[in-house]
Amino acid sequence: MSSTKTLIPVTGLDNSGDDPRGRYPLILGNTYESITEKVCGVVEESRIRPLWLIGFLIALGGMATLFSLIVYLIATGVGVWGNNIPVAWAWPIVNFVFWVGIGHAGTLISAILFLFRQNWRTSINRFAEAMTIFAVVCAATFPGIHVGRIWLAYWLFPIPNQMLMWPNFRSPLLWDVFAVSTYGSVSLMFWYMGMIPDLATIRDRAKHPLRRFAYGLLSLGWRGSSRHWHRYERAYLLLAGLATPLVLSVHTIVSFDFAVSQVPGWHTTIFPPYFVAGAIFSGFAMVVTLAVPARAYYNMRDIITIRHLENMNRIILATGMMVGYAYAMEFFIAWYGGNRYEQFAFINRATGPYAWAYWTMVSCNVLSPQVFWFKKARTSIPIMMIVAILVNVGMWFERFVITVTSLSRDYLPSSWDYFRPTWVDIGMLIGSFGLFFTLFFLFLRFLPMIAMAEVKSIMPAPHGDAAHGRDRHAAKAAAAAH
Amino acid sequence: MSPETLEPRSAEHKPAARASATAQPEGLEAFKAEAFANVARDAHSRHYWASLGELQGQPEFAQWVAREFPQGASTLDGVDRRRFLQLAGASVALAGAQSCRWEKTTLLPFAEHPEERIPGVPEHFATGFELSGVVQPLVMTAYEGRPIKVEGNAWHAESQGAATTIAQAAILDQYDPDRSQSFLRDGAAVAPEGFDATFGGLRQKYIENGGAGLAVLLRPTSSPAIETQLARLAEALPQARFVRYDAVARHNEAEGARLAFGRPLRVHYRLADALTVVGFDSDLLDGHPGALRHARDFAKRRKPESGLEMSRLYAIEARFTTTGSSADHRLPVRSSQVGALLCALEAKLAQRGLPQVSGFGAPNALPSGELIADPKVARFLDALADELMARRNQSALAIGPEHAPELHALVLRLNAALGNLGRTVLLTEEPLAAGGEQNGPAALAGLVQALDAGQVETLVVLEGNPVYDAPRGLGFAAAYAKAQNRIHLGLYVDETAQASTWHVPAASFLECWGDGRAWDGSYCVTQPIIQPLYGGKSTLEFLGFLANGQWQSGRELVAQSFAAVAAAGDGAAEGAWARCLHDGWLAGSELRPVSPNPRSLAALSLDPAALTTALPANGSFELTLHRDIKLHDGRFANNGWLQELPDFLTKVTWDNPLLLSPATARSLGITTGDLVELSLGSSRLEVAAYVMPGQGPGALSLALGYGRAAAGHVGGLFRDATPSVGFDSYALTDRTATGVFSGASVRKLGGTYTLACTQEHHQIETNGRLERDGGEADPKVAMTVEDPAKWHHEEGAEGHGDHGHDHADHDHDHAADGHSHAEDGHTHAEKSAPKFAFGKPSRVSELIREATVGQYTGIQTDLAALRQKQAEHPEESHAGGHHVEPNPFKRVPGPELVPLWTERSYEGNKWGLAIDLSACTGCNACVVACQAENNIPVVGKDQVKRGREMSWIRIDRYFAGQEDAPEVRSQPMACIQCENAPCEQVCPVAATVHSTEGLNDMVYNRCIGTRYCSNNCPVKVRRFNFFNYHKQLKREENDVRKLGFNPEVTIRARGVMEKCTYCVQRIQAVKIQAKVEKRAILDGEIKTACQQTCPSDAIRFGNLADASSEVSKLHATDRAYELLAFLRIKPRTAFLARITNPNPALA
Repeated sequence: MSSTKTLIPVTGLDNSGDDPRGRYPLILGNTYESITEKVCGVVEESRIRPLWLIGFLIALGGMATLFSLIVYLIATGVGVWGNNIPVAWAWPIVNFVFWVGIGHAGTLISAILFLFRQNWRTSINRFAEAMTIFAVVCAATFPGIHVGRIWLAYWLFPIPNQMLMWPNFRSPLLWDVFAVSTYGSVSLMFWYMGMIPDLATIRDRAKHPLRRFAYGLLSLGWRGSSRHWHRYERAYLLLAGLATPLVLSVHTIVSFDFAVSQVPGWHTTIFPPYFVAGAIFSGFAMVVTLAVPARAYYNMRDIITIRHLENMNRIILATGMMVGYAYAMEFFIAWYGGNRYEQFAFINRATGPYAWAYWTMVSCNVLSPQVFWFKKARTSIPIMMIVAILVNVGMWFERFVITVTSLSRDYLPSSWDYFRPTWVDIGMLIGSFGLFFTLFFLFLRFLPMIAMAEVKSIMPAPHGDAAHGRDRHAAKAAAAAH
Repeated sequence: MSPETLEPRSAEHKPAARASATAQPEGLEAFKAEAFANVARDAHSRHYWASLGELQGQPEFAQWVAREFPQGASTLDGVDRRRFLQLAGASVALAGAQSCRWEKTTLLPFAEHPEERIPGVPEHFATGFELSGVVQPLVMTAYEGRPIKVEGNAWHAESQGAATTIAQAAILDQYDPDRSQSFLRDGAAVAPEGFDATFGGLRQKYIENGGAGLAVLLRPTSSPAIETQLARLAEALPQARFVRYDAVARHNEAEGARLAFGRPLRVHYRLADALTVVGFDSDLLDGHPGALRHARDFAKRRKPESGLEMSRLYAIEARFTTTGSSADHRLPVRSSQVGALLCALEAKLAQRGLPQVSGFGAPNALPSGELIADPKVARFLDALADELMARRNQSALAIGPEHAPELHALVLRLNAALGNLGRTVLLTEEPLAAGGEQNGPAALAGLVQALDAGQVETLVVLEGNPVYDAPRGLGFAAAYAKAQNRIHLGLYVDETAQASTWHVPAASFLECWGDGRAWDGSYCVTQPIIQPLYGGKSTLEFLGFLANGQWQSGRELVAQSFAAVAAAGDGAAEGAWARCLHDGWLAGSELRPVSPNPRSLAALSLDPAALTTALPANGSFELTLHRDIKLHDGRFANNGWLQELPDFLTKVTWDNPLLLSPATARSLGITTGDLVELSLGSSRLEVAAYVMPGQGPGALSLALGYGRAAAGHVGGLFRDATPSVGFDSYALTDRTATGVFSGASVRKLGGTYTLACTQEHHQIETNGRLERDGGEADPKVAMTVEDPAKWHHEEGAEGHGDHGHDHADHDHDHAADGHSHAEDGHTHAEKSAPKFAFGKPSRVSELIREATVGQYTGIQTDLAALRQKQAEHPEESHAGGHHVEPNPFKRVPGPELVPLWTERSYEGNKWGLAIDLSACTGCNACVVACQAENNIPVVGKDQVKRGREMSWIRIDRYFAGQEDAPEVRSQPMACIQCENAPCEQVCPVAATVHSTEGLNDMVYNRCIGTRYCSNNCPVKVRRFNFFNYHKQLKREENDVRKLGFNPEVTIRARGVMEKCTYCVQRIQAVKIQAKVEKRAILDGEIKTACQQTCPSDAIRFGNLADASSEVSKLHATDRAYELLAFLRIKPRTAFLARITNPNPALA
């Protein structure tokens, strides 16, 4: 895939130039060896970095909050949340959809960008995939504890049983169970499989026998033989092919929870593409949010370069526009469709008691990414951090707006009510971030955060031989040798 | 493991080893090793050996021998034998422990089986419930001797199967753990014998001294048995006082009759014969003791299918009553203006030449003043006067109990002049007038004086709570303490009980014998359904003890009284007593109407302030203190069902806010939920405000009965730090509890107070109001409901509903030319192009469809003509074009609805319900009936605030028109059992499924509580158990509550969704019975709980598969419509459009 055009040499860390005469390298000033040293160095470091420890402890506290609240919830009842009738679904479902959405970027980067031969994915894919897994873990927590009788949640699965009862296959919630569990397992497999060569590298470098044993177990006997590479690449391609439709299907099906119902404001055909775009949008924003501090902290600015970040910001801009289009189209269709109930649902969104949430969502999701039209903003670390965080906030509010405002005022005005969260709602949202970051901090410490083998495959060959560089097998073999 | 298998062992050693094994099993192996070593070492003794190893005494050999069993034999797969046995033993022990979880109890069969009692089959008993002297005839349902449900007595004219909310909720009090459970002396429990001895001694003393120093305070009662005892006591104790007091008695009515006719009389209304009904602050249809019959009679003339001429209802009132909310025309005024309006009406009638009844005095002159000149009022009164003139002998005028006797007398004079007396308005003697001077607030004031003067040594309070509900201005509580012996009989250890020296637990009406008269005067017997749970005594038994010195069976006393009543009537027929117990009342014992001679009434003197239209200044507001429709005078304050029952209009639960009109509130800068200080005279009360549309400007109203200090753990118990519910409005009372008082002032305090409303929990902003209420985008004209027909006009096709008659010809054209009709429809479909919601007609007008009786007749004529045309020219169908529903009630916006798949078909039963919005008054009786029938939990104020009330049926209330004089729309809403139920489709575990009889079943056991069904329910009638709302049942003191549940209905667990089932348990019970008897189910045999108790007969349940069933006929009427039909949910509950009968002159 390397271009026939010349590679424009870069001094410093800014490879975001747009010189049409050639390409800027994606990885700056690294050799195969330095990549290995840097990435494995983080895992092999014996000291515990103070900032990591502080972050980890805070996250652990959050996770503990989440689990204690779950215990409290199970002991007491779902009334500990602010849910009511008519708003029978509220923050837990908002959090669920939010986290599932976050989980989209990972598989998109690993699968779709892989199939499209987007080489820049290599620096961030491990990161993003890990984020996906952890986000799915957070997401999966919520529907399980959301039901009234948590101890019977397994009835959602089609397990043969003495009651001779199957779940109701007409219910979108059931489709959700399949969609999310399939997505979670394929993402996990994808992530893990992609990590095997790198795990083997760590194993080979390990000095302590326990370490060697642990990583040896994880690397499943990888020896880096040409046959291994062959099988690996085939499998990776197949999994990418399998995961690609999943990227589209998961959030499509999550959107069916809403679209298949007849609640005004939920019952909308635009939901599947709109949800997928929104998910990718929020996923990329989260990757940026995580990658920027991580690359700075672990000194990997030359591996996750400004160019990578800029590319992600471009995607944020594009998907942000899609989401904005969807917001506008919902209003248009409500007006054009002539159904007064739907019309009111949208007027209510924009002007009703939750207007503050709606306009927070629009400002964060539609307006804030517009700064990315400017290259300066796309390549500015502070600006992109601010925008990425705003997008995360905005996307949480999008799910809130869809779920809560629609339910709070549906057909009969007698049932209209206003939802207020309780401290448990707030604690669980914070706690889910704790769970996410706990896992993420552990990932940073114990697993290779950059896909070394893949990064090396897009670097120029060590001897400056162009033909060599194009041969990925050879490059990977060489990489594994280092 | 026989020793022979162990080759090296010597036979000689075995006994020793064995012996030692017996003696010292744990040291067995060590011992054996030692023994053998000794043998081997003994060189002098001769011995035999088996191997060299043995002979040489090698340690390996010794060790080998010492091991009794071969290597490995002692461990079974890594677990040694001992461990194994330990585990096995423990398992057995634990297996045994499993069956020891519950305490062993013994069930004893009946030694003698009660006659006709079959376990699991409910029994029904007729009985009565006396409230403020009026007996409500009831039928109790009891399972295994436990009464669980109160229903009306269908055979009695005053009930006709309906029961009031309070009577129905009384079952909860029966099993209230807060009920008084023992005799108390100075607050400490004592044995009943202790009381008998003390009280017997006291009694003896008073018998000897003629009763000097003894006073008995009781509630007015219509019980002949009690009257007999009282008469006997009065004879035996001539010096004793017997005072009757009830905070919410209807003295003014009786006094009004005394003014008009010289003696207290009871006024009865026959609304079935009245074409015009006028209520002046009168709640004929709900709060009145005869309300059940009134509602039933009134509804007869409000259902257009009945063929009777439709009646018209006017209400002139300050505070919205249920009657006012059902009125065709309502004029909001201050109560203090009612007198002037009555005078004006009388004058206007006289102007129109209404002949006066001689002896009543001259009619009042037309008052002059702004109020009467006000065009709105003048128009209203003129129209009313014209109509009353035209419908003489066929109208009925009624006035509320808070008004002065003079006004009651005036209304009687008006009724007399209009020729209503003896026709729609009947007079009978007043059974509650007994006691004469000693009856009423004045008598209570006399008692307080006597107490203060130290003339009362012993005061016996029988089932009253005067410390709480006596007008505070009398200072009863302080005076009470001056009596030396204070004896209280009551159901609860209430405020009075706490201030008494002796407290005797009372028997509830389900536990004792009693009698009394229903509102029509018929003699009813109250029979016990259950033994007194706590050995309580009834008032009758107590008086019997006082009279006779021993506890007498109430049955005997009642039987005696029955004999006297029967003898006074037609004479006791054979078996009359048994018949009376069976029916619940004595047939033919109703009071006979009387036609007394009128007395001249003085002209009414009017307060000039009442004749102004200006909003009174703060400080001269009027305040109405009134009976609470739920708690009565406060005696039901510990009843969770009643406390959580939403007020019929404000939808407030667990509170009694101060109602004030929007104009009044604006002038004070107050909004709903503000805390205010309300002052009347020198009394002050901090209370929450509720801005009530349609409240008379300058009129404040506040319900009595809240703010209890010693009601119980529900209503407030200060002793146990349970805060009281609501505000103690008795704090404002001076000489009487209820009434209209002037000179009230309101001061806004800083704070706010959260009222728990079940509807409009929060203020709705402009756009929401516009959508709900319609109107232009101008907040000032919010709450403007457009003519529903106009909505149909815009959304659908031609305005069939607009002016029925005018369009009749138009419709003929349509019918005559099918094609042009079709095209027409098409054009209209285009015409109804989407508009932005602003300026749209109200959403409510789509949900609650209505028309005036004129429009309705027009629509019917049109439809009949159209059907005839279609029958004559069937080929001219609408095929090929857009079909436009000709019936505006059934018209659905949007494209024609076509089924997408084959619809379900039913063999056999297909249940359905019809709710007639024309008849429904929104009285809440169905809500309590449902709660009792279906074991619906009470969730408490905090949960209601969170929007988690559990009632399966609710009354949706909407306002229409201007906020100062709105109209009210009520719509009972329970699960409408959709044929294509949105809830069923989305449940992931198939917990809500369609039954073969068309019910939308809820399988509680299967439900895991995803709550998706509730989200997808378009009418939001599903209720979720957010917590374990029955948790308190685990506490021992609440065991008694368990007796009150309906055993036919599951108690739902935490985390489970629930909803209306059309009382599926009642359906099943009748189905089983019909099957046993090998017959078909009769139409009307199954009644849902809401239907059974509906006073206005607005609900019908039945089989839709049977075209001749009543419900099918109702579904087939022109005014039956499907709710949200465009969703294609095909509900099983049809609503029948509300038909009103406005006066064209006031249109």
